[in-house]
Amino acid sequence: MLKEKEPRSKAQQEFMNTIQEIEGMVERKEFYELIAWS
Amino acid sequence: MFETVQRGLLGKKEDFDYYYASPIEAGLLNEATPKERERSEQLSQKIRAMYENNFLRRTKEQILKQVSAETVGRQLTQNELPLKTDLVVWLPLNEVQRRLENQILMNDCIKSLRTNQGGVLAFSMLNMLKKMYLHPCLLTKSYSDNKRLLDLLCGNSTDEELLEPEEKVTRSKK
Repeated sequence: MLKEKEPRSKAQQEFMNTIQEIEGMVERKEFYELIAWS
Repeated sequence: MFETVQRGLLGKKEDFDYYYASPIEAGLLNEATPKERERSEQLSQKIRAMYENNFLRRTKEQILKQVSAETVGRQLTQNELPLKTDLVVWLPLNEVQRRLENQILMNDCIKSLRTNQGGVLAFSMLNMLKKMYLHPCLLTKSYSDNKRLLDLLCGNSTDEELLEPEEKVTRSKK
């Protein structure tokens, strides 16, 4: 029997949002904004 | 890298792109005019001059003669290695890295590591943290080499789904 998947926790949701945010920046080639640059 | 070694050396990112990166790239294109190529070369030389003081280039011969004489007290032969010197530079995390670190450490799958069922997962998690400290983009689907772990952290899968078949068998026997 398939086990029902647990809903996403707050930490998982926040992590996913941050990864999506970074993916957007990578798509826009904003690599430098992701590392320290004044 | 230079922003870490010597903050402000290359100016702001936008200014660097405008005054250096874009004209240099334009001069490297096949369809670049002679003027653009010349400008590109001039700017490249200018940048080289700016960072020259931060670059240390040594030949093997120089190492064996000069450096080893300073560190070991005599010249080394070809089959000897000079003393290793480590220089530790502490780098602060940026805002995104701090956020990610917190989110990874607070993640539910960390709990399974605490209950001593971690195994392979513990090493994968450490590896993921290491990548995040190097550059957050290494955690994205385009660059990640462990998409299953990424799914686990996002809550798209469970740690059971992440395990290799033989590990699942071992767990079920416990």
